[in-house]
Amino acid sequence: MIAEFADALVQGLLLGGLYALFAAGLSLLFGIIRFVNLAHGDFIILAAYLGLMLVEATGLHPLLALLVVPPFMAALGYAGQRLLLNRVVERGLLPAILVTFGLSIIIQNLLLEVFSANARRVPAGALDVASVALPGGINVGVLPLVIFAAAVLALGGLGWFFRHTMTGRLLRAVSDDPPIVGLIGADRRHLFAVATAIAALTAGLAGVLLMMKTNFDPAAGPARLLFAFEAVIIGGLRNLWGTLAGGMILGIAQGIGARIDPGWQLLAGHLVFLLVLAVRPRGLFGGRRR
Amino acid sequence: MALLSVSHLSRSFGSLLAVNDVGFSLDEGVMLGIIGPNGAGKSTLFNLLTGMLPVSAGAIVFDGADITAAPSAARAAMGIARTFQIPQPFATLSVYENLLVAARHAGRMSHAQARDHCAAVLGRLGLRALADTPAGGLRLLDRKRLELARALAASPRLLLLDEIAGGLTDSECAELLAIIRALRAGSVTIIWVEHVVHALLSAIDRLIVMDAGRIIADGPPHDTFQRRDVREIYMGLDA
Repeated sequence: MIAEFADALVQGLLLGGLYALFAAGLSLLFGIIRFVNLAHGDFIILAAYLGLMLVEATGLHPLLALLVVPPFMAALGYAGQRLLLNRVVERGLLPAILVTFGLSIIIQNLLLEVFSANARRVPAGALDVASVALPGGINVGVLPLVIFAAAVLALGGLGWFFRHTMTGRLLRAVSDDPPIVGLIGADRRHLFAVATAIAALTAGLAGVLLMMKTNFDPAAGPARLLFAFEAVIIGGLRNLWGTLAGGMILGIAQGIGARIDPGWQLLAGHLVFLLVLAVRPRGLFGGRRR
Repeated sequence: MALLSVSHLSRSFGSLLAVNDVGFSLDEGVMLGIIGPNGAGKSTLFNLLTGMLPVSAGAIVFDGADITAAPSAARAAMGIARTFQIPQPFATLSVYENLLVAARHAGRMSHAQARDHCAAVLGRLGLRALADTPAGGLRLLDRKRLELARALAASPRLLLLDEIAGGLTDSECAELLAIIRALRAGSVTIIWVEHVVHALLSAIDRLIVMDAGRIIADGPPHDTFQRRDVREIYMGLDA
């Protein structure tokens, strides 16, 4: 019983890394451009299908798709922001929400047209069955560990980027005060596109990791978006490590819920989310008022 | 040749002409003061000069180039910097980072140049001890200092100061004035909009008085300020 509980805890914790990665792109765009990307989950699923296509066409190991799909998604994100979203982002919250809602529908239907409604998964070969034994009789799959490590590395990399690079500082500046950024000689429309490129990069990473971990189908995006929202809100906005903790809490809740009854996996996650929203609306690690 | 030349500049908001057919030219190294009652169009003029607002009519020529339609980032890179009446630092960036982004982009400096230059500006404005403090947590005088420091970090050729002495005590004001006088000695061209007239008159070479969007007087500071029409309109004096 205790071992089973501990197992659910560890699995949930590891899954939380992936949820945090879902959330990072969403909170980044909200933090920098102040817009809510309703198509973020569909970007993740699009990336998963791109990874699937790549693996099927070339026979490469799915992990190698991490080198191809995320940069491609980033380029797509940059272009999408310059050509489409920059036209609406500074006209308030609603137009951007409508445009990304439209994008979400377009991506889902495009995927449905090309790949059919069948659920897919990309086998990761030997990684799928490899596991390491932890003390206490818990076995942890190597794949979930790899996914968790990749997600934490990506979040750490983002944090470093925002603190220590010139572009990172400019992105924080544009988040603080977009009109003033022009006065220090920087082009905020370019910076918006860079922010979207980074968010799409995280969606690309998340999609490739997800395609090895679970089944996905063209309509799987909105559920990822919901997990991303929940992780962000549990963890608090503008705090990458809070987002990681939020993802882990969500993952643990789902893991334990699933052990009680398979139908309770999602319900348990939503209940913990509602509880945090009721008790700490700014999130467990948010708190700082702007 | 004039560094800045403005002709027939107008900007309307609906039926209100906030800036109405304004023209002047400014030689390099001169310090120009602009005064006028609230709503005279001073801040709108700054917004037009920096490209934060598009003009309704007229032309702005800076260093021989027509910048009337240039975006603010391009003007900043050409050497125009401004401060705001209400300081607007990038709140989550440290004081040093606020300067650094300006030096690297508007100032077009290499990383090493920018680092040295920003360190010098921080020292000159007495902000060195606060270099690593997030700008959002500063008190008013330090925010004003940072506002000026960020503008200077870009090594501007033309500096626009918007009521930088407002809200400061006399001694704080004197301190800021010393810094601004030193700038002028360093040949930066300055346009300074100010309500604290005694601070302004002691520093400037030329005074423009605006009222209801128009320039109503332009000349040597003390003579211009003593003109009867200026005192009536500006001070509301019934002398």
